[in-house]
Amino acid sequence: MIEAKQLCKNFGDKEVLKDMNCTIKDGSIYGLIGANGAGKSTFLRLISGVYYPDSGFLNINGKEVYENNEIKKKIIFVADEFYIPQGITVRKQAAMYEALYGSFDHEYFEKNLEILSLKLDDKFANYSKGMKRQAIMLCALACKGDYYLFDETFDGLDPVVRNHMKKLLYAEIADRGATIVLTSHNLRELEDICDHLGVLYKGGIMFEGDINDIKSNVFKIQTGFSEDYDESKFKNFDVMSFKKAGSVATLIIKGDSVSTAAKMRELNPLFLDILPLTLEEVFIYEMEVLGYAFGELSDK
Amino acid sequence: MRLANSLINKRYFLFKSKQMLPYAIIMTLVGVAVTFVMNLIFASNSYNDMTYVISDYHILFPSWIFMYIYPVLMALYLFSFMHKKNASDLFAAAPVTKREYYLTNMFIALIYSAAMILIMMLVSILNINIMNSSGIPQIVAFDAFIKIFLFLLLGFMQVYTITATAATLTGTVPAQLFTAVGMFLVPTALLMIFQFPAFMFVDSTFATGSELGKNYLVLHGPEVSNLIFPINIGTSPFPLFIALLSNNVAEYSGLVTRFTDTPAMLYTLGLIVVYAIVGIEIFSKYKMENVERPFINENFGLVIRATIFIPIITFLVELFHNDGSIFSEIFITLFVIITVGYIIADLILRKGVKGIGKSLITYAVICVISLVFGVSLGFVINSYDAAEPIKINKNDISQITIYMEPLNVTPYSDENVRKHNVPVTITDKDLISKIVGNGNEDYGGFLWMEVTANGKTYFAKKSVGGAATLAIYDYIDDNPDIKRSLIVYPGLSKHVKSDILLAYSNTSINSNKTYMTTLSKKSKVKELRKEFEEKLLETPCNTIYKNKIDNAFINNYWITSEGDKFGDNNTKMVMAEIKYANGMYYLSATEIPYATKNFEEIIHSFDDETMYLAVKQDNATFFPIGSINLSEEQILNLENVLMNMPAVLSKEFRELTVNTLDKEIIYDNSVIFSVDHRGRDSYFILNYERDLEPIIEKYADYICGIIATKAESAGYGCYQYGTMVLNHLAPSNKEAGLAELRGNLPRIKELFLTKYTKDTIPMELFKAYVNYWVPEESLFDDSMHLESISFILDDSFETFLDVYINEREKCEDIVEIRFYHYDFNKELTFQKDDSEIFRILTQAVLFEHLQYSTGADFYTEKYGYINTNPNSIGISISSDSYDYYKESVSYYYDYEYSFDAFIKYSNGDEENVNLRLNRRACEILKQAIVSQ
Repeated sequence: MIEAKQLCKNFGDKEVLKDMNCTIKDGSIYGLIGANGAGKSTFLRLISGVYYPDSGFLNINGKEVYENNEIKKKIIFVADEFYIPQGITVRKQAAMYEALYGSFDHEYFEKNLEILSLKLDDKFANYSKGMKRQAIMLCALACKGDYYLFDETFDGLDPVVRNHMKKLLYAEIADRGATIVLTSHNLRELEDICDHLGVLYKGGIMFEGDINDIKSNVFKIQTGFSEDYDESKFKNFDVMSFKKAGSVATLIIKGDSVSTAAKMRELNPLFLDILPLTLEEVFIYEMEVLGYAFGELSDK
Repeated sequence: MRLANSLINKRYFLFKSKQMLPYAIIMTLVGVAVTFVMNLIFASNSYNDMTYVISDYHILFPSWIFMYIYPVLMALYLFSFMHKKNASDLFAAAPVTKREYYLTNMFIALIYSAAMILIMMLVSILNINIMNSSGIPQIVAFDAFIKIFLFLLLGFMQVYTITATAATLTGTVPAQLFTAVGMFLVPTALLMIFQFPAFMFVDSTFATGSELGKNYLVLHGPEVSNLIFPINIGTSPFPLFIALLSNNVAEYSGLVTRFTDTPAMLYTLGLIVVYAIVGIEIFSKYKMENVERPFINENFGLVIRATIFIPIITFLVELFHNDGSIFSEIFITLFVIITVGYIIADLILRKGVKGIGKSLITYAVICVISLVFGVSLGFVINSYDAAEPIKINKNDISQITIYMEPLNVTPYSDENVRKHNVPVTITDKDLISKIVGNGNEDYGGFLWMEVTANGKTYFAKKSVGGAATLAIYDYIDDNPDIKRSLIVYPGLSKHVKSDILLAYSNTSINSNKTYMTTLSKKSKVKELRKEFEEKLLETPCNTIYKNKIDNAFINNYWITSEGDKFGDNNTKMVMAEIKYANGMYYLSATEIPYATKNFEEIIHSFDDETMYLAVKQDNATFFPIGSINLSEEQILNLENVLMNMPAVLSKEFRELTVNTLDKEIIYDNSVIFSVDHRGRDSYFILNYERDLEPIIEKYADYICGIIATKAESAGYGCYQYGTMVLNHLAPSNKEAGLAELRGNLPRIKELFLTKYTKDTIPMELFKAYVNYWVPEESLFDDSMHLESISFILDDSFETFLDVYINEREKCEDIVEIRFYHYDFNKELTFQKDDSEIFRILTQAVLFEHLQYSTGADFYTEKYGYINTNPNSIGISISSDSYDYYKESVSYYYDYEYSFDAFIKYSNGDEENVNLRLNRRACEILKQAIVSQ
């Protein structure tokens, strides 16, 4: 379990993380979203032991990471701008990961390289950005760590590759109980992969939770009534948003959809449509509730 | 094992070493190529010909250059992940601690440095053996090899560690390099900072009446220039530059031995350890967010800038502060250049103009600090002479320790006077009073002393009057223990003329001291020393010191004399010359005035091929070196023509020379000219009437006025060139020359004073002498058509011959020669046999005996003849061969091995003799040892 408590990190005068609290359970895929400069990469660097916190603490299974080889060998960090020495081949890059982490599943690596149509002796210089990402992710996964930290690594992968990578991540979790932390500034990149999400804003986790819970607990209702009505009609509901156009009202309601629908029917609506929300819509409404504009959070 | 694991990361080590291998191979290949080229340069250097022995310099020098390049490149490469954010993410996230990174990288650098140095050294040795023309394999003493290797390795590691530690304080390549330079200067900067109060302290402790002043501080205190270029710090670039600029590397290579001294190496090792500990400490706490930023913080950047600039600016101030005008034109120019350099460097570090204003303010502050510092320092240094000395009451002085020159050795210079002189503590009140009294009443001298008064000790260089000096001498004479302490045995250093050859000098000297100490317990050496000491103890100090001064005076006078200044111009020295040609010896003799300039040119050489080339190619210089039976008027005419019309005559003389070479040589009324072509001297004779007069006639009108105005000085001018008489002739080719020589022998005898005939000259003396000093095959060889040996013929020669014959007979009785060879670290015993080495060693004994018996010195140096005893005999030899001449110079400068040996005679007597071997003899000795 990755646990951050009152975590602070400053770069000069700039406070990047401020009293951040976050818990990432083992065996989960945790998505961390936030705008550029929100502190996502800094958080990953703190988890991986690249940076040392200015205050607070960051532990993995109760142990400090910084300069702790025992813990660090379980953590594989792939930065957003990953390091590829000039003129290097895939084979040599893999050798570098093996040298640094000590364990490397060659069979796994080569098998997946083949699936992705990459070759060991290919030079990185001849690869596209996406291909480089694939190869680096495979290098990281082949190290067989317990914690994988991917900093915006999934951004821009094509659907086929993305799907394959997803499978590989799921396999790591299923087979080995690995924990994966992904970051992105784009929610759509993460919603189909992660099971947990956290929103990083102004140096802290503003909002986090299980994706299914988030998605199933918030839904949209479109309804209408014969009589005139306003928002007060729904005072018994946990309404996050209310909009009315003519006699038709659109509500975003938090809670159990079945019981909410039953309660709504008791109000004798002319019609009642219960619609699921996309994760992004959920976040928009959640942010609105908190008094923020979603645009500040995410670069769409 | 666990500790080892926590220090070095094996996986990372293997990976990084493999990754670095191609670069290391390239670096090594470049190093080998440069080594090869440098060996070629050494080989072509006339002062460093490689025909004999490998010098430490040849091995050390090429690697030395790379000491400032490769470790820097390695440190940049191994810490390159500190310069890129993405790389630092990967490496810092990996399960390798920063301490492991630092130490593993250091280990990699150590391995590669060792490998590269070893390869370059071995290549040097191989090169030298390939280029070596002597046919004798070149051997390097193992301990010397190891010492050089360790020195280089320490140097490499010091530069590496500094550059690596610089990486832990910075985040970009330029900043790392700047910081490395700064850190390199840190010891200097610190010393400079401490120098100031040190000067003030010393300044305040001048003893009364002391002559202490700037010189004292220059010699004994920290000196600014030395701190800027700390020549005592092994890895300082200064000696390297000096050596590179020098034509005669050998002269400076004494520096090498200085750096390979154990203290210097320990100092370097200490620095490495300090820098490494600092580096590890800082790196362990290094914040990776500093990657790609120049410095870990602004203040540190300021410190680095100051560290670099303060010594530079202070040095400039020191350099140009003459006569109080610090801001000379050149200083301002250099200051502007430095300022521009600073701004450019700052722009590079900042990657832009942002913040340049603050940077310039910083620079201004640094300049002000430096100028204040430098000017203050300069003021202090220059005000020493004006410093008010401390007054000490005579009655308060309880003790004086004076540093007396040893009775039997003369230290070379003032610089080492306290190191080499012997402390003599005086508590006698009367004597103290005499010593500290007025020292100006008559000539005495200076003495270094420590004056203890009121419990405090002051250092002083005190002028001591003649009366006080005599009182000191009496005091020493009256105290045998003190007098005995003034007899010192500095090993063999006084015989070793150069400390260049590590294998044959410093190592040997140090080892020899130990060996001599051991030997003295069990052999005759002790008795001999006792005799020697007793003799000295019996002789009054005054006599001993006076003799030393006289000898030094005469010696120095001879060496520095330009000939025309020496002694009485009318004094003439009888010179005889033995010539060897085609199996026959010829004798000639002549008188050489002491006034002769370029004394060594008496032993001139002739090379007809060179001469032809010289005169035809217009790249030779001609000058008259002597005349035969010319009248004063003729000399005057000739002198003026030559002196006043060299440009015109140059061509005419060339033509004349070529023509004359085919003409009959006329000795009478002739002038001997020397032609110098690319360092080779040849001689030819032009007859006044036949050859010179037409030219003189031709230019008579022109020179007429000049003769008139210079009549008085003309004779002296010609005299200045030397009134040398022909030693041998100038045959146009070998056979003709020899025939001519033989044919003209009666004429030569008639011309020159002949004292001995070939039957009366003991040829074995000269042959033995020559065989001892020079390779036999290169002398008296058919390919060398004329060789010569010159020596003085005067009344003492008869005595010398007698001594020679006696000593030679004695040496024939030697049955065993035993000595310790330090390079091979074993005692060697040579029994009498027909071997070449035994013959050489026996000859060495003979010459030492001759030197002892006659007071003659046997030199093969350039100046040929140094004679400190009017009744002794000096011998010099030379050869017509240019190669030989070159070697003879080398003998003097470079190569000589001196050691103590025990000689056993057939009647059982034993004797301790100091032997000297030349390079070739050393090589033959080495061969003999290797083949044993």
